[in-house]
Formats: sequence, structure tokens, C-alpha cells
Amino acid sequence: MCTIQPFLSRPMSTSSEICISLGSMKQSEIPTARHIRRRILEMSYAGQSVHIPSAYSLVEILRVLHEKHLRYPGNSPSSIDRDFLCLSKGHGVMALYPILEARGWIQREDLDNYFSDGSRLPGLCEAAVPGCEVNTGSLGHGIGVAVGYAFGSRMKGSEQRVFSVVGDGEMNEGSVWEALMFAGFHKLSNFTLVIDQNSFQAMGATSEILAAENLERALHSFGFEVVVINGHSELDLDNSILTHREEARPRPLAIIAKTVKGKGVSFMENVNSWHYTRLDLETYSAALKELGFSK
Amino acid sequence: MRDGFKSAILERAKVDDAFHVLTGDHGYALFDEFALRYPDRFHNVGVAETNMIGLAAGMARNGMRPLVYGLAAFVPNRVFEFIKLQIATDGLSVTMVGDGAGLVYSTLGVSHQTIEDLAIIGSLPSVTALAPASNEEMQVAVEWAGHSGLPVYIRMGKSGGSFVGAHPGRSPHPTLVREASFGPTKRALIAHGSMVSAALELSNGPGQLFDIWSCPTIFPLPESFLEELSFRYEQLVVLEEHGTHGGLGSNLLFELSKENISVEQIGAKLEEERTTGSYPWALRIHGLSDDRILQKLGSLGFLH
Repeated sequence: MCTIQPFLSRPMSTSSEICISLGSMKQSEIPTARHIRRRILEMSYAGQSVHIPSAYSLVEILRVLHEKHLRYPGNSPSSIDRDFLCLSKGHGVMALYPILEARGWIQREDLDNYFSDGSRLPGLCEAAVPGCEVNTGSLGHGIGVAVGYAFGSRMKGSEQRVFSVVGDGEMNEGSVWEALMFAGFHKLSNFTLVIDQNSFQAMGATSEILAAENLERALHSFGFEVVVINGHSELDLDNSILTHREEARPRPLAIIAKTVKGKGVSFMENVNSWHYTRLDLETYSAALKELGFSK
Repeated sequence: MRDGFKSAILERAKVDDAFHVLTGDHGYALFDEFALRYPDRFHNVGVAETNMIGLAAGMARNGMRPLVYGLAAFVPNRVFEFIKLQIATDGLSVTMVGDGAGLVYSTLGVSHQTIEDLAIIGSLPSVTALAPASNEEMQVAVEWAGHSGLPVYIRMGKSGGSFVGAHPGRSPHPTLVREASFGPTKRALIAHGSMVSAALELSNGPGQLFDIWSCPTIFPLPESFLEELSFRYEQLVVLEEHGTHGGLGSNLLFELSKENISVEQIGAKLEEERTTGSYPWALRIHGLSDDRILQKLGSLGFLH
């Protein structure tokens, strides 16, 4: 009989005790990108899940946001004053789970039980998991909710920062552009969009399926400040957000983060069949080795 | 109905600072006073209903209690998946109003006629669905939705005429709006929205052999109401300007399936949704004109 319970059924005191005991997050508590990628491998091998390269392309993006920019008073994922991260690209959620584990919001056993019967961690992003905020995975959803959150924050006069991470394949969705138009038109300077531009979507290269000819110009025309950076450079990611904030630009920021799908494992990098490929013992061991781990 | 809605949102704004109204560029003349009095809480978000649901969900997650307004053809029909994932799944406090429901836009054809909205929203167990029949019921619906803190869909159809529902405790509980002429009866007609007035008018005169109920709550049906129906009646007719699949009629059929009570339906016909013409003509095509309703009631023994 399955005894695993969803997060919402946990006693409230449990999570608040954890938050109080941890206090503010220290930089050192966020795992390194290499360790996050190992954790993703472990989860996906144990659970026989897919979407490994999709998670690998946004590891540095999520790391920088959590380490440098997101503020959770009392390290609480439910603080009313918290900043808001919406992983609109819900199928990259495996990259987020190790960070949430490090924050103490989910447990190691949750990751170890990924995809097992009754698992508390779904394969796509769901708000019931502390720190996940929004139900995504159906593409084109999260960005609109994030923009609504940013709109609300501005009306409240709060200093909350709102981030949404979308995939470049996700940019196919019409609802993304509805949200972009709204954020740009209303000059939501508290909103930052990060586009994980790994140049692939489920069935092939975005350039061969559906893509804007000039995404940078398109985002400009929708009222965004736009920067194009190396999405695996934590320094570039950090600086682009800092610069936007320091210069107090009156427009939302869009970061086109050029990434590599499957970054870190040579036989996955830009090999799109890995979008839906599961690890076997041989590929699991080889990938671990490439990341510099013996087991 | 629209007057009731206009006054209801003004009342709600007065008592709740977190109350905001969003519209997808619909609602001509409906929000003039609200926008004048609460300019910071009225948002025309553009012709982007899908994004409007996302925005409302984000605002609700940020402590606000938004009401989103659209034509029922769009809210809930067009944006169903966003409602499911972003509002219903986590039970956010968002009120969704679908205007022009039923055959209101009979001349505009299939894109705007909406006789399946309750079926759609009824598939989401966390969403309460209300279909008021009068200004009074609309005011109660908006007020109740605000207090509930739940996701609520309010269906706004053709104006309910002069009918005024009685609402003890100001809840959208079903109301016995007219009793049979000659004392207790085993037959009742149950309607919502525009069909309550229709039922009252067509049976207006001596010799009515059945009770008439207004039932503004479609999902979930109150247990006490179901118990009362089972206790009092042997034969029910449900009258609604909605398809017979997934509306009040089919919900009552399901809920009362184990009771010794028959439930007949008079509702719109999904296969006739391409009908284009005047509202009275559309009602007739769908079997909802006075003569067609009387014909059906007669065949069921409700008239003699």
C-alpha cells in the first residue's frame, strides 16, 4: 500500500519549522550546476523519465535566479512577500527539484522516489510542490500567471520581483504573446522573462518547425528591454538582471539565454532524440562519468 | 440581470479592497460606473481571454480576489484548460462571469451561442456553477462568490424579467417561487436563468398543477435541496436554456438516480447550435418557446 502523501496534506507546522530553522538562504547551499545535473541523472535513471536535455539547458538559469535574485523572507516558499519564479517550461522541472531540496522545501526521499507510485514530484511543474508556484507543463500557461502576479505586485506597491522561464519551443504558443503584449504595454518593469533558447523543441529544431525570424526585434516591439546572452554563463545571467535593475529601466526585461539542449553530456548535446530517450545503465554511467562522477 | 450585476460588483468593491474586475474587452456600458468609481480596480486586458485567466490566477496568488468577465463563448468555453490548471486545480478565489449564455446571441450563429458552458465547467469539481434568474439572484451570486473564497462560475443569460427570487441568508439556494394552485403536489418544474421567468409566465393563471422552483446553483446541488425534492415529489421537469447534456437536468438525473422520482428534461438541442435567427425563433427551434414547453408539459401530464 502506498503511504506517500501529497505536500498539501502535510501538517503546516512541519514546513514552517523547516523554514525557520534554515533562515535565509546562503549561496553555498544551492548545489553547483554539476551536482544539479548529477541529481537530474539520478532521478531520471531511477524513474525512467524523459526530458533530461530540456532540464540540462536551464540549470544555470535556475541556479542564478535562486542564488542571486529570488528573495524568500524566512526562506518560506509561501511568504506573502516572496519573489515569484514561474517555470513556464514545466518539463524542465527536474532542474528545479535539487534546488528546492537544498532549500529544505522538499526532501531527499522525494527526489529518490521520483516517478515511483505515489511520487510527490510530478514530471511537470505543479504548484502543490513548494517553490513551484504554478501548474505548468501545458505550455504557454506560466508566463501569463507570472505577468498577473507582477501586475498585482505593482498595484500593491510592493517590491516583489517576478521571473518566468519559458522555452523557445514554448514561444510557439499564442498565449505567450498575449502575456508579452500585456507585460510590455503595462511596462511591468518588475517582470523578467528568461527564454531558454536551446534551439530545439520536441520534434526538431525550432528553425525548421516554427520560430520568429528575429526574436530580439519581436520582443523589442512588444515593449521589452532585450539582452542576448550565453545562458550557461552565470555571470552574464546575473549581470543582465542586475543592470536592468540598477538602471531602473521602465520596461520589463527579456533575456534570450542561448543554451545547449543536453548541456554537459556530449552524446546528449543538440541530439534531439534525447528529448524522449530514457537512460539505461550504460548511458547513465557514461553521463555520470562525463560530469566527473565515478558513480 | 445586467443591472443586478452592475450593482453587485459595486457593492463587492465597497467591502473588499482586494476585489478587481477584468474584462476581455467586452461588457459595453456594463462597467462605466465601476470604472469611474474604482479606476485602479478595473482592467480591460484586451481581446485576450486566455491571458485574462492567467492574469487573474497570478493576481489571486498575490492575494487579490479578481472577477473575470467575458462572453460565455469565451469564458469558460475558449479558456477551459486555463481555468482547469490555473484556477480550479488549486481552488483560487476567482469569480468567472460568462455573459450572453444560452441563445442570447441567436443571430450571430454558432460562435456565440453557448449551450454547453455548464457542461464544461461542471467537469471541474472544485468550481461552483451558478445560473441566476433575476437581478436579485445575480446580486446574491456575486456576493456569495466573494465570500466563498472559491472558484465560482456565474452564468449570465437573457434578462430574467420582473421575477425576484427569495433568498434567506443570501445564499444561491434553490427557491420554491410558485406553489401549485390546489395545495401540495407531486410534480415540480425546476428551472434556472431565463427559463424561470418563462415558466412563471406560461403558467400564469389559475389551475397550475405543479410547483415551480428557481435553481441558481447548478454545481454542486445542495444536499438539502435533493432531499427535499425526493421527499416532496414523484415527477420533475427540468427546464433550461442549456443543452440537455451536462446541465442542471442531467445533474439532477445523476443525483436522483437512486431515488424513486422521475426526471424529464426540456433543454436546448446541441444539434441545433447552427440555428441563426431571432431569439424567439431560436427558442422555438430548440423546443424552448412557450408553445413547445406547454406541449411537452402536457405530454408529461403536468397540465391536467
